[in-house]
Amino acid sequence: MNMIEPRVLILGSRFDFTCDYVVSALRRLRVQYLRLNSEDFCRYRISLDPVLRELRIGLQEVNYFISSKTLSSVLFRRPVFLRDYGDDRRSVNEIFSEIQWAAFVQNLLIFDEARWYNSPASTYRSELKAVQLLEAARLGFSVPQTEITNYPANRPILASGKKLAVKGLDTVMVRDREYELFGFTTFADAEEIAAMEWASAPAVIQQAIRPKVDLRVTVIEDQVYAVKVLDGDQGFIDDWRLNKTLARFMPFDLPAVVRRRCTQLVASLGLRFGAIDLALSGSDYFFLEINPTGEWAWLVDATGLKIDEGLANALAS
Amino acid sequence: MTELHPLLQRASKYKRRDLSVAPAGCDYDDSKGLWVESATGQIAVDQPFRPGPTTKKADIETGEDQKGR
Repeated sequence: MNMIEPRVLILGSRFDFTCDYVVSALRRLRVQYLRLNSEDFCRYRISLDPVLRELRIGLQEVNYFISSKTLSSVLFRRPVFLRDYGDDRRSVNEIFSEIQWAAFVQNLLIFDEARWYNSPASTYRSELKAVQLLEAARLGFSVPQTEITNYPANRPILASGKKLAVKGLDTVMVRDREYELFGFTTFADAEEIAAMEWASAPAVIQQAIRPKVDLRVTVIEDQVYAVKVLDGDQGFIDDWRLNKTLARFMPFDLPAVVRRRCTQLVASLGLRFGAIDLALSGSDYFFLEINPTGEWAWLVDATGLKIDEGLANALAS
Repeated sequence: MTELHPLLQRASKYKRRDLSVAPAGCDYDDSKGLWVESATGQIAVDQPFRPGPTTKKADIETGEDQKGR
């Protein structure tokens, strides 16, 4: 039997094609790697010794041996919250299996000398919108006036009389039989918001940044890939994802101070990778949010930015 | 709670789709850890017609939520 000692471990899903971009780049670098897919766990023969910090995995005729001495880095492209979207069609055994394997993956944090992109512990904290906004403001980013509330009536944020952005505190996604509901950021007037019934769940209500150009900044440690999102020659008024077929993505040079804040934000959240959404309004760069497991592969295709190679180089270094 | 929360009232509603679908003409290669063209064995994402990211947001917006748990 073959025995392979991977230096890079990729924890993803076989249908997460973004992992394919990274794997392809790692192959060009001739780095030994192993990709473990969540839906394939039951096919692997897996054994973990938590004290010796050794992980043995068998798949068909190949055996893999991972130890704390040889593992350099981990790409962790999984959510850390097991969200309940409702209308579960899985069997009891499938639900149980998913929960237990998710725990197994998180227990791989015993390989704490490896560089995680990103550590589940850091991802967990970094997905919290309030934490993100606080950290960004501490680093000097402009941050939209924000309230997280289920009772916006009479709150100061409604007094400005300006348009407001409304979004979920967590992903707005619920399953309803054969349908799914998915919420983008939407916009409303103060009077409209005050008249609505919000009590059943908190929401994020923010000063709407207008006019603005959306910027997506992908950070891999000290590498920064910034892109502006355009509708024709201008920014989108609303959430560009509502009209994504019209969106054009153009590489964008950030001022040095903003670039530095982006890398500082990623580091201050304990991350090595982050996908940051900014809004440029006049000369002000507003921080909107950061996603520690953010998507980027579409930018490789749309802009030619070699984010895949940048991430592979970081993993292999 | 009879009335939908405003965020749900404003949400997009669409038919559920299984995103766990193999790209056309491709097979997953366990040893390489990626999808390859069935006919040639070439790495699918290195081809001009490569499969794009198909996570929830990649499909609905562009990429961040459900990375195939």
